[in-house]
Amino acid sequence: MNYIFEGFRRAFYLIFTFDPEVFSAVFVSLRVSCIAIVLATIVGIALGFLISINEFRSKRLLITILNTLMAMPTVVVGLLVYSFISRRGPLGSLNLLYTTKAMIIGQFVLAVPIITALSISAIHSVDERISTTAMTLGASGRQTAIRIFLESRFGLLAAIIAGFGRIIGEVGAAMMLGGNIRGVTRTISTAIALQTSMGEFAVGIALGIILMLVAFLINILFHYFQQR
Amino acid sequence: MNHPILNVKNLKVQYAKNLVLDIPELDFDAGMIYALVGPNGSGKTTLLKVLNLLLEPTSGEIYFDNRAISKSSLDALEARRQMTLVMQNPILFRTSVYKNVSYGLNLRGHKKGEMDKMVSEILEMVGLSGFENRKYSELSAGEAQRVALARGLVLNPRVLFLDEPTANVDRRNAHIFEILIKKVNVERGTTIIFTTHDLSQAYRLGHKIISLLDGCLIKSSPENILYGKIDSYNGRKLFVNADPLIKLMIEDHISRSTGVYIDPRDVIISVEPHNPSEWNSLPGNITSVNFEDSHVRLTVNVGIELVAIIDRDSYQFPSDIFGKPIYANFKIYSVHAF
Repeated sequence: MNYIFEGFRRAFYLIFTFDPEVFSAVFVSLRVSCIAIVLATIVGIALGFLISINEFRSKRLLITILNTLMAMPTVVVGLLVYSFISRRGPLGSLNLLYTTKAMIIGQFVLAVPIITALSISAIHSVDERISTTAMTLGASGRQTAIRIFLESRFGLLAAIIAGFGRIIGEVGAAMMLGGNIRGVTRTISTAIALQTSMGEFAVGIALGIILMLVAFLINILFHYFQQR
Repeated sequence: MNHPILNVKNLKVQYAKNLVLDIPELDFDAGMIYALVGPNGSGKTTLLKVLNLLLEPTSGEIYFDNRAISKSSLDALEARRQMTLVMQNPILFRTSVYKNVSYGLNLRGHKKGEMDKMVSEILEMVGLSGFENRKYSELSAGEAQRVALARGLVLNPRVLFLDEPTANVDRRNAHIFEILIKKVNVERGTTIIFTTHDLSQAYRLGHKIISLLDGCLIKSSPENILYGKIDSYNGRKLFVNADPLIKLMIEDHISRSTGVYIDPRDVIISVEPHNPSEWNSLPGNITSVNFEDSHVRLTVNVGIELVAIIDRDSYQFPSDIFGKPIYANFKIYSVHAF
């Protein structure tokens, strides 16, 4: 048991002394996940909106597929993106493998179905009288769509937060696509996996604490917006 | 001379195979108040939605200021911005009262200072002064309903559609609403078209009453409706309501009809029956008497409840008329088939 307590003691020391090894992983994680979530938000919400307000054949099937993709294993996404960007893949010439760009692509692919599917349910939960009301008050088609968007804003925020929660702690895609290069593509989660396997508990625990804090903050935000 | 601000021709609305609205022609003159009455499912709300260009009719034309318009035409938005509809169960946007009320003004490009003034004036008019910063969730049902009305009124529309404006509010709020409706019509000349279940309200507020039954216009208020079948006896054509058994003499040309109605204004109450060769006289007793502004509404139990509307000036029954045997009389040609 002693080595665990010792691990925690050293972990707090590393956190409070701003250990460069620990914080470099934190910054890589935040940078990659923030860029990925911004891109996934733009695409996911736009897709969610288009799917919600248009009626077309196989809409249900599409929503079912999106819901399935929400639970897609991260290593499968890693594998999929890897096959495209590895040297022999169709995008091999872009030399993306083992860069943060590759990790952003992987996390983007993971987050888009979540944001899209949750946006659809957020927009569907807007009372249908909202669009009629906007029209009776003189809104054009575009202005009515903006009103629906504004009415579903809390649900959309919850969708983005859920997407961020999914990618900030994932290991599979980040490991396969980033390669876990120290100071470059090493994220909190890949660092924990590596440090623990090397017996460096303290660094692992320090990073674990920070990751838990991030997840905790995300959950607080998520519940806050869901209850609005 | 009033001119029609809205009229419809050969209007038909069909859902699946059900014809829910079938109106050959209907005019609405500018500056008038119209009460649309009829039982549930008679097509009142559908007609409001069609007139407000929210619903495309299956066929037929709508004219606004004598110009043909439709939901999909290019100038539909411009026409729609001169009318507004306050729904039966209005919903407020999830924001402040100010943003709710100023929404339509904002769409029309009004400046902030102008909007502040207009919002504050209209809130005062509906009795909600100082409510600008309240959130939608902090309002009572009656207050929310008044905010929804203010949101429409602030636009100063030429035509105001109200779908059952007082159905979900208490008596006090209903009274406030009625006063407001009259005030808006008189002070601004707004044409108002409202639906109601409350016929006495229709008579109180409406300059004209439009009755709908199964999507068709009928010539009286939708009361005194009987369902049954046509029969004949001794060469006279009869309409027979089976339960309770009521037989009415009808005009010879009526055939193949399953329903008839009698205009309440055609029903005359008397102590003795009228001449049986021209009149239907049904024995019964009076169950209620309501004095309205210009008329008296009587309900008479003749097996079913019949309504009679009599001018206040010609009402001459003693106060102990309740329960006494009387006759409800109406001419044979007052029985209309639908």
